[in-house]
Amino acid sequence: MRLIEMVKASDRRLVAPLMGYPGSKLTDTTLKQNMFNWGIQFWSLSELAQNLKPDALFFMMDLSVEVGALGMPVHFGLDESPTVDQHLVRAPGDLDKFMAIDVLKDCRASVFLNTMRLMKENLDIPKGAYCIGPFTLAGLMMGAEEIALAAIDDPAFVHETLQYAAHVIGRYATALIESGADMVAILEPTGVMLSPRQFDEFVAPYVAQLVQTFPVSTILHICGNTTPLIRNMAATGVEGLSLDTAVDFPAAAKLLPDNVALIGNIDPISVLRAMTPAQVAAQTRAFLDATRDAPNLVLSSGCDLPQDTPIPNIKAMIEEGKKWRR
Amino acid sequence: MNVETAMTGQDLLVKAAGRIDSETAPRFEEQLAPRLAEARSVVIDAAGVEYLSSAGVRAVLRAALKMTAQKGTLKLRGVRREVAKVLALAGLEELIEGGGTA
Repeated sequence: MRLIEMVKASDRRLVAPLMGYPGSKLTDTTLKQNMFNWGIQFWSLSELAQNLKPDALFFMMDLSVEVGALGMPVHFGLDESPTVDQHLVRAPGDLDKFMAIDVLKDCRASVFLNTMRLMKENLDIPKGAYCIGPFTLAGLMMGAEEIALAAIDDPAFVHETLQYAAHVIGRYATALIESGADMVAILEPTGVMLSPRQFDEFVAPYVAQLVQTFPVSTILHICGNTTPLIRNMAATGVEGLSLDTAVDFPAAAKLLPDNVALIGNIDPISVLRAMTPAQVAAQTRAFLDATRDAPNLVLSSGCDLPQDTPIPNIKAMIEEGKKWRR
Repeated sequence: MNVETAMTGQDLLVKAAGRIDSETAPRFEEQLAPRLAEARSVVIDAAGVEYLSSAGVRAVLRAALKMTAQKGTLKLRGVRREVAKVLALAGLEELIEGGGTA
């Protein structure tokens, strides 16, 4: 069943926080172990599913998989999100270095493909995969500041990089779908720095290209205050928008067509990490009351939860969300 | 390396033969580039291609990306087993018509 059909068919709000990292606390493993070993990552996710019983579960968020598969230097801390150390594409000719690389033959791509395979074999809830967005991948290849400047000075170079990025992402995400993903969330955080006009030129066509290719539900996630971009994001054809805490959800819901789910947006830091379970439950209740009229809301976190988010807090949010009724 | 092109409507047929390597790939791309802009569908008859180096792979992928960008398609036909292996190593087996070898 597609995401929007599940949302409409449910007699309550569906609840699916973006919560992979805290699963490592349930298995007493490091993030690095989870990012390199699909048995461990699946174990952490399985513990989350069993203990917290979300309505859907995504694997761990990692924006470095595709760019690492292309050979960019990636820094892996023991308990930190991986980060890209160097951006190797400075001129159009630099793309040549990457064009004979198959992302699927990369070892860490295999970690996520096999994690998804194990999720499919063992979890009976909808399963979500992440892939990076083309503009963000191009930004990691070129550097965020450089791509912003090139968007003005040399848009043809940016488009050439985006075409290649979309090719890489399409291949990886298609394999994730074949491994069992019921939905794919496209993570496009770098898009937040663009104006609506730039978004339509540099983000929307490439996201739409992916959405048309994927035979499953798609979600577009952009961190930060994306209020000026909401209509443009929805026009890409995705079934869901996953939006950050900075976005006013009751207002955002009014901007969306009836066939798009709005996913979010309990604050991962000031609420889910910092408060007590009782306070989290109260905040969740207040949020659900405030978004009562939103037709297609999925209760989630505004962004990925930090590793040290207390498990009782996530549980309080999920339980409160499941029992709330209009 | 030898390349012949024939356009029927918006369908471009490219007949390639010989080796497409670092020496010949630029010429392959030069001959293809002006025709791609006019095409909606491109078929590369690769039955005569004996060898495809990484430079050849890049040339094929660049042409395929250009076609995707203009909402067209590019496929290779009649690909020899050794060339198909190279395309598969680069993750481009989906460009082979029917997914198989000649």
